[in-house]
Amino acid sequence: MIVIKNLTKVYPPKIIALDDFSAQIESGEFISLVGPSGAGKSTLIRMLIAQERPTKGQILIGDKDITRLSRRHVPYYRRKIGVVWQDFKLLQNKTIFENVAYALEVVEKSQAEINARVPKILKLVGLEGKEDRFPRELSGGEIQRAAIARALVHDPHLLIADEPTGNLDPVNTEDIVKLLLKINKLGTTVILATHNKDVVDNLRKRVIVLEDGKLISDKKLGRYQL
Amino acid sequence: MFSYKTFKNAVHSLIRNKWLTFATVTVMTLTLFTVSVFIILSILINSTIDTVKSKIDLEVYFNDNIAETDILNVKRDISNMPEIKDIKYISKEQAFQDFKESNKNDPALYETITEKDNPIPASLRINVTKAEDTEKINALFRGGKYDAMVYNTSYEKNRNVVQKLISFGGYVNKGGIVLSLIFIITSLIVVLNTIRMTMYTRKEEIEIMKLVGATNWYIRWPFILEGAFYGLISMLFASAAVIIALRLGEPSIRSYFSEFGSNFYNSIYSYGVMIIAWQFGISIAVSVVSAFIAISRYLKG
Repeated sequence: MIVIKNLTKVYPPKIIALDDFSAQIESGEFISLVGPSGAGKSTLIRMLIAQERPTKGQILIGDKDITRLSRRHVPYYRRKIGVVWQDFKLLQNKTIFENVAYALEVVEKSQAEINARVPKILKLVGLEGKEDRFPRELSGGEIQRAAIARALVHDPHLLIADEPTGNLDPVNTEDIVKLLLKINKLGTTVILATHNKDVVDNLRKRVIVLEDGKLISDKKLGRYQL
Repeated sequence: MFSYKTFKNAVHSLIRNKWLTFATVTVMTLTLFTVSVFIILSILINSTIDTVKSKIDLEVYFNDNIAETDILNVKRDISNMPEIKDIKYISKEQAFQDFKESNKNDPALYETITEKDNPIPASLRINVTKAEDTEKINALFRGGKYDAMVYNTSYEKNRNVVQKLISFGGYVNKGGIVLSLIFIITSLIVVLNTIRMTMYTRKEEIEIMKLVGATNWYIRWPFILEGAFYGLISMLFASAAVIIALRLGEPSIRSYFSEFGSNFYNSIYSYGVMIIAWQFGISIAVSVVSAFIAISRYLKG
């Protein structure tokens, strides 16, 4: 369970990116985080992955406040979550296999474990047979699948997706969303930040709406509404 | 933390970023080559000074009433001193012949003296091991135990030259150390910037590493290893270039500079391994330190 309490982020001099945001996320939930650009979605996500610290407030995962993690402990926290970005963030000079394997190498898994785990996860996201391709040789949808595979390969409890379909066409968007739902069904908590109305409306899942850094609505079976 | 995989990753990234590797290695090779050329020049200057210093003799002129056997006794007594490399006895007759020989184009000068009233004293021509010892040897004859036998020595006349040479050698050595330091700092800055550039092109890669949970040391090691490779490869190229240049130039340098050239090559051969070892150490240290400094700014946050 993730408990977010009174989270506030103020950028100097007086830009309030997030204003007293509180929410509770149960294990295994699928949450859509929606709102226009500048609503505070990305700020919230950067704090969830310990890339930034809030001005005020807490993010409690279990009994740990991740906004207070020391710099030394940040890498170990990130190994427990998976993150997918709009711009994919794959290493261009590594193959798809190596990109996915990288998340395991970092946590110092054995080569045998890597060789066993990576093909399984590539199969899950539908990239079998493309292990030796480089990212530039794949389509946008395939690259995002590879990025999702990397985010999942170390079996995280929480998957955060920041506009994962922002650069994709509708067909690929649908595929990626289906994939995220499949992952959620397998037990991973998913937080999906998106602009895409169709995506949110078809999901029939919990929706949190942000505007100007404030929580506008939080509905169990929400729709995209501003 | 540091494993075969780290090593493999470093080698992979060297090969996949071959243009950056090429640029970095080229800059470092040129810098190291310049440093080597400078060091060799300072060896050349030093060996030249040493050669000149070894050519400065101390001539000791004896009073005419001292018998040749006494002078030869003096020669025998002091010839074992470590400060003395070589002693030659020049009799009155020999000195007269030498005088005639060196002034044969000037009969007016040598005809004024004949063998009978030869005013040139017998002498010992002493070659000292180190120019710094000249004064000590001279003291034996001026004020020392042989003072009564001696008419004069060449020391006063040559003292200025000797002292100037000694102090010039000192300046060259001190200047050499200062210039070497400047070169090391320069190459540190050059390499730091080159590696920083390499890292700038890979800052996205570093960011991704961080985001998938790599610890700072996990990210740092391959870059530091790459730095060490840069240092090693550049040093191999620079050393090879210097060695080839020296070998190719050896016959002409030896014949053109004659004795200076030989002394120079003797110094190069006796210091060569040490110089190369030092440069290896310094170039690897410089590139590793540069890599460490360059990467630290990308590891914040």
